[in-house]
Amino acid sequence: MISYKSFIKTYIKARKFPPNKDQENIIQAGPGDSLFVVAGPGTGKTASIALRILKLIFVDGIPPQGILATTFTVKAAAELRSRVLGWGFQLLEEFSKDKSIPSVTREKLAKIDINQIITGTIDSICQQLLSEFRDPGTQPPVMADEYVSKTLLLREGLLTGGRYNDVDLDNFLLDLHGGSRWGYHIGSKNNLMKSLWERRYQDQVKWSSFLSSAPPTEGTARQVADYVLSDYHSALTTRGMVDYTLLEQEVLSRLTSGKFTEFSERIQVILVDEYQDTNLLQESIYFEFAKACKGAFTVVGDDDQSLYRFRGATVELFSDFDNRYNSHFGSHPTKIFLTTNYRSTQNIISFTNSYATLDTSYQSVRVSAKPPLAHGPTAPQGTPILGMFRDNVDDLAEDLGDFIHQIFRGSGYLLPDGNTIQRNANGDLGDCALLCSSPAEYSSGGNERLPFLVRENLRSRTPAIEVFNPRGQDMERIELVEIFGGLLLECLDPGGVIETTVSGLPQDMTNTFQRWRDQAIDFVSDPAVPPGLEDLAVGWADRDPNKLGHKWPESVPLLDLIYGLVHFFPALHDDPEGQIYLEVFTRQVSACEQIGKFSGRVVTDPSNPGLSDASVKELIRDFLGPIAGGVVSVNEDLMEAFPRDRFCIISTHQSKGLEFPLTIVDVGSDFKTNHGAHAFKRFPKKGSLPHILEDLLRPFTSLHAPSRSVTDRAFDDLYRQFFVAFSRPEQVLLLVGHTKTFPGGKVSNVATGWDRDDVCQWAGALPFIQI
Amino acid sequence: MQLSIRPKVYSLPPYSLTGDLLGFIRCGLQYRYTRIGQLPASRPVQMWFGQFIHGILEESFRRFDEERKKGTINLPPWPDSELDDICDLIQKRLAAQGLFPWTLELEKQGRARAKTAINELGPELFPLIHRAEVRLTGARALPLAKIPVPYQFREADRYEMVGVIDVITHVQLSDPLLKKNKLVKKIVAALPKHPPDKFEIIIDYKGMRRSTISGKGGTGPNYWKIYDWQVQTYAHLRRSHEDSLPVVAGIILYVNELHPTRRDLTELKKEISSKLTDVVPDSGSKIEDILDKWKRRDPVPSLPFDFRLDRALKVVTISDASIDTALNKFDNIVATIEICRGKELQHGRVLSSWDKNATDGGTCASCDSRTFCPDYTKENSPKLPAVKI
Repeated sequence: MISYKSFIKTYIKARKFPPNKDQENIIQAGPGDSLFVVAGPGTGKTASIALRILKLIFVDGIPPQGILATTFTVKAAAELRSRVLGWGFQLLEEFSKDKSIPSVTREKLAKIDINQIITGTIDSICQQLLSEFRDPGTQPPVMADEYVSKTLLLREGLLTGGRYNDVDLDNFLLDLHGGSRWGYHIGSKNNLMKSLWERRYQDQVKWSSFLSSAPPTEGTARQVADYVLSDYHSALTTRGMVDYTLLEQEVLSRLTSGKFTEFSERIQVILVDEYQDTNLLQESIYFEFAKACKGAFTVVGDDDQSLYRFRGATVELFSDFDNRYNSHFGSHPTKIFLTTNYRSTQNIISFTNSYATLDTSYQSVRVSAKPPLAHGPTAPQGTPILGMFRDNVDDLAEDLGDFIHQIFRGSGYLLPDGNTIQRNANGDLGDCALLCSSPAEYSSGGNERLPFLVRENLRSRTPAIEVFNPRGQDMERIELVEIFGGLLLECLDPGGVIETTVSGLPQDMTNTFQRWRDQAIDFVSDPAVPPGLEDLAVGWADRDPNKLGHKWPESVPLLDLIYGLVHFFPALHDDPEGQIYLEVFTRQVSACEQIGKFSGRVVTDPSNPGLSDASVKELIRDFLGPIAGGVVSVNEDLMEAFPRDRFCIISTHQSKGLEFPLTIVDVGSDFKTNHGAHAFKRFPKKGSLPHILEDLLRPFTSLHAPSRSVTDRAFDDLYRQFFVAFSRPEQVLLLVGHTKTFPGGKVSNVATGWDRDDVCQWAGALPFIQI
Repeated sequence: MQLSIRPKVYSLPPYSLTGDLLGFIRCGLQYRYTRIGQLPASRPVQMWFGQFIHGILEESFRRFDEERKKGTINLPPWPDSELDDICDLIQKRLAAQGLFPWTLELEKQGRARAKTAINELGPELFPLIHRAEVRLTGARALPLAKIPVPYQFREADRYEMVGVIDVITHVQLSDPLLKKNKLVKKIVAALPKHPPDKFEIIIDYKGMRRSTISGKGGTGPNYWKIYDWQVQTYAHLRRSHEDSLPVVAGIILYVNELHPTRRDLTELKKEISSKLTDVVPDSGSKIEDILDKWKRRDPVPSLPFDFRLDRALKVVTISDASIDTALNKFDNIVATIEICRGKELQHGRVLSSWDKNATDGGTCASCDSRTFCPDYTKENSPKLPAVKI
């Protein structure tokens, strides 16, 4: 096609941003080369992959449909595709005007359809494969989303025969839960079973060996767990459905048995971004594709930013990629480090670098010979790292509220060094975010946490600032959800008469139902109740159309009731945050439509009250039950964008891939003491679910038992979590926490400089200034 | 020091021709709730039927094609048992996606239309099909000049246009097997000039009646033109595919016309008398006589296949100029959607941010947001479910 020199010259002309030497090594590598790219935060990895793809197309002549590029999240996949297309078209325009390129070549270039490049998440690619390259006579599988799969697992697996109450299973799951009964309920049991199910496939567990090798105390529990999962599997299969785990497993099985040859023959190069979050199942799929490409496989990632062990990620697959690739292809990939950070100030980069090297033991699990991040050529020294530590969380919320309000609604915040932080004239609250381990507004004991107090504080100021934190509360405890859920219950089953006949409803679920009902009754009894709401609710409760010459229909979609009630709640139909809650309700109804006998409908047949009651029972159990039980909740994919005019509180996981001019990181607002209950969030004494599951299952996989202890892995994950949080800001990083967790204080905390030997490395020389 | 502004997300928004652009044209607010918010419709009748008929035709062709690849040409009509088998399969597939016909009547109607489409249209259509369900993508410049700066919430200079062509037919006029093909004859007759010997036509199935001409008879969106633009855009995207032949025309195939119901015939008679439809029986013809004499409560009369096929087909000729017009129309719609999205992000409100269209009574009557939609005034509080005794 064209020379690399012309390609890169045209790119620089169009984008005005030349790649650095390391980036060029990625872009320039030959089409058949395999690359192992270790890219720190803000080092332009997406740009480098996009340019490599474009170089493969325009220089090496690889047809776009021969390139498969995947990444971990839908958002990241969209961004990668956008860059390839956006820059690709810009380059094509430039090529078309460049007379130094022979006209024959320009004509060839003009015919290239860049859109044909295959991008997406591994799941979207698998879905595409199974629907477009299916065998004759077979059906494309129907995807069971999270709502359907969790409902089926609950109904067919745990509720069947009251298995959720089985003592052996209960003890087994309690161990996975960490041994404490805090927050241990039917929803968490369901989630634990789901994790076990997923991990079984993600780690390619030899399941029968796992079952037969149980210690005597656990044999029955494993057997019951197997019944739960088998029934769940059957429920999916009989409906022609697959969940995401089975989807990937199915694709792997077909690939290894030589199917999808039409697709495999087309693929010439494969690139995978965010490879640090890959699991064994996905790695196996990628290696099958890579075989078809004769090893032309590029992986990009950063072990320091691996956050998804709880979703099955095995970071060692990335850090050991060199050897794993070699064992498949008999050669080593070229290792390239991207180290120049173009995002942050020098102070922030320096702080992040020291943090990454703070703990000696952590260094042994990082990619070998990893250099520190370097700052970009124009990066300013920047504002020092700031720290706000207070004696109690109320004071912290007050001062943090003041900080935010002064910057975004006032004349700026004066720092001790005389500088003032001001918002941009065109900026707004969207330029800032509070990152927390958990954005929950209440602790499991019901105490108000920093996210709640900041919300209240900002709301009380003039002008008031609203907070965007859809995951701030367990959904079933949000007042709006309680009232709405209670109204649905009272309309469907006034007084809970039918509810008492639903077999196997766990106590915590019925307790929530009762709380919802009480809230709804209070709401309707209030003089300020919206006019018309009570009439609608009473009409539904009595199944009385309240219209002369008419009767109640024999079958009514539940959505009729939902949308009827939504009419009275502007917070649900006019507020983007409320829309997210409504979406959870409607997605759960859709799940009922797909898997229920009554397809999400309310039957009213006076001649057959048993049938009518059965339809309501199904809705209580399969629609409202999973929401009340915390089985389903607000999903990250429901939150498309953050509003610019609200103060966003997000988890560090949600912040992955994002950057903010001002980033506030909660490093310990909860930690007043060295209490063991929150040790896992600051200074772990043991592992949590993903680590326990690894120890449980990995001996029955080709990965074998982990070499590091659960506690060490828990420490490693915490360092990674705060490394990600600390590397989000562009200009200002503010650490906030309780005074007790101040460096060198009484509470050990990896986020404030402790290494795992319980020595605070920051104690002598604070890496921040106090405000 | 002054904070910078958080960089906008770099993303080329993908816009599908049917789900996004046609959905937004129907009503912006409804589009916000159902497409962006993914709120399901309480009565997705049209969606069920549309997907049912698409699924049926795809599966039928797949079966025909599998036999053809083995050397056997097994054209419809097929026995009822096989047709039922196909209908059962597609119905099951849709049910697994949460789509149901809801009433027995709709299910019977859907099946009857599907069987007619396979048995009567299939023999003409299937031999012409080159590919079915063809995914299309293309990029267009994002019309930034039409989006006020405060509402430009993303960093992008293009948008991605995506669509799926139901069927691409390859036609070789010299092929003796196609000499008697009614579809080919009608297509060629509708073209302004004689096409090249080898060409392709793209076909888009519509699970609905034929649109009224030039949007007459209503104040809402002009679907007569909008569907034309859709096909023109498909043609534009298809041209970049390596296996494409010259795309001379697109066909909009109004499947319901192949098996009209009483309601369809009532509408047809109204449209004929008010000159709102372009395919009418010849004056003094037997068909005209049948329609004149037919009363609403009479059984549906048997109309000749040729007439029904004429009603079902709308041939849209393709040219560079017509494609440009269509693309510009869609660019404008994309700009409007982007503005609405930007407004919602800026102001944190849904109702005031999105364009509403309360001109199409049918769309509003089945919309689940109708009682709180500020522009729809006929119903301002939810009603209790009721049926006449």
